[in-house]
Amino acid sequence: MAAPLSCDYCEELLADYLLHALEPEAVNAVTEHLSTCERCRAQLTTYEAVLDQLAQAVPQQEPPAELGSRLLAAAVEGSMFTASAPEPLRPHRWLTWRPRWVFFLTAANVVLCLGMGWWTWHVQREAALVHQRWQDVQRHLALQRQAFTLISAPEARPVVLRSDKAESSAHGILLLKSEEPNAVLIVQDLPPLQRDRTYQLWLGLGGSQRDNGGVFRVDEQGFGLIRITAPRPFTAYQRVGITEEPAGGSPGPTTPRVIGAPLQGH
Amino acid sequence: MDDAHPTDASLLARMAQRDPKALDMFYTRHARAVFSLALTMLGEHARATDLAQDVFLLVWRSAGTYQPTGSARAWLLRLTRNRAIDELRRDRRRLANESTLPEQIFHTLPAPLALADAAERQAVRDALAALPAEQRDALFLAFFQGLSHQEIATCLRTPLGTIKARIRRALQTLRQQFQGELDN
Repeated sequence: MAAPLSCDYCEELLADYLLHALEPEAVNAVTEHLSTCERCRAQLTTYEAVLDQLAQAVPQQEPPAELGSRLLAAAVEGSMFTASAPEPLRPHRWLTWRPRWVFFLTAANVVLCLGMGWWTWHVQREAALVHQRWQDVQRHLALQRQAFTLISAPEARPVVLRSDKAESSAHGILLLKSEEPNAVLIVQDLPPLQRDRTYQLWLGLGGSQRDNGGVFRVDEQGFGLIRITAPRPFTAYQRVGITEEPAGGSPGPTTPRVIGAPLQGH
Repeated sequence: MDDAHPTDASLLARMAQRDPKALDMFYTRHARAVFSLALTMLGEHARATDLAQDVFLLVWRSAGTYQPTGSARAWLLRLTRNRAIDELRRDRRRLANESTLPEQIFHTLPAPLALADAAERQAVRDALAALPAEQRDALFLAFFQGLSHQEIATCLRTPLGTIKARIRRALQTLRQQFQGELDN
């Protein structure tokens, strides 16, 4: 059982509690305290209101038009499956008379069921892996489609990213439409990184200001195809660059630029 | 509210009775907010679409258990954020445990750090812009990326205690700002 908390200590933990950043034991302690303390519950509500504001403050974008009909179809289909519960099974009369051989039959059934259970689990696991792969492939295809669409769009423009070092063959192409925040980045010959490192794209504004364009990794050949969703349309940016950062990315570049390019004048 | 403009609570009650029209109206009312938050957090159109569908299906299946303690939209966005964080954390676990998979080559994280400029409401934009950058970055990494404080500390190469203090101060400042706005 979690140790009781004082109100001061509970309030100190409330932000972490709402951000899901507490250890399970501390979560239990805060939950227990909140169940009996009206004052701390009121405090919690005020923090919740702040986070609700943040969640609603993100730039608004329309969902795909087909999502509504997809959702309704899935909801109705689910209802059909759950609407009629199967009739409960009633024991047959012969099962009420149990000679000795029935026990052997039962034991054989148990073994058979265990075997089938294992087999079902195995098949489900394989199916889940195949499904996951299928989703990966779908995602990659969607990304490639986006790249092809951009390449064939008359108003799209390519920006070539190069290294400052003459001996480096690392390079990339950013395909973008100036008025939009979406783009596709194709990189080649970037050194593959350790698991705790990542590449990060930076989109430079005026002066030293920049936006984080996202993090990505490359395959063993140094190739990567990445979809970019910039925080603003590309007309807002003056330059673009890629640096190597710790996994998860950094708030600002911490290493020299690997490749980059100016965006203005393109 | 009249029948043409039912409240969220009445729509949820109708959904609990398996009324697809209520789901349709509820979706139309909130889809944009749910999808936008999912897209900001996941950064991928296809994943945000799937997640939005999952959230509305969850609401459809559990509408009967909804306890109206606040706005339904806030509740819906909390569900969205929780689900997105689950996905982001799963991604990070896979990234840490497995060798390079094709998916990881294409994986990008969203860039919500410019929210101070892009936020829809002026008051939120002003409040976020007034925060010190290091507090804002730590708060966004925790809120939109679902990073634990320890992960943020590692990522920013900053002591854990400092990260905790920054996030707490950021939330306290925002609370004062928003409270002031509500009072006005």
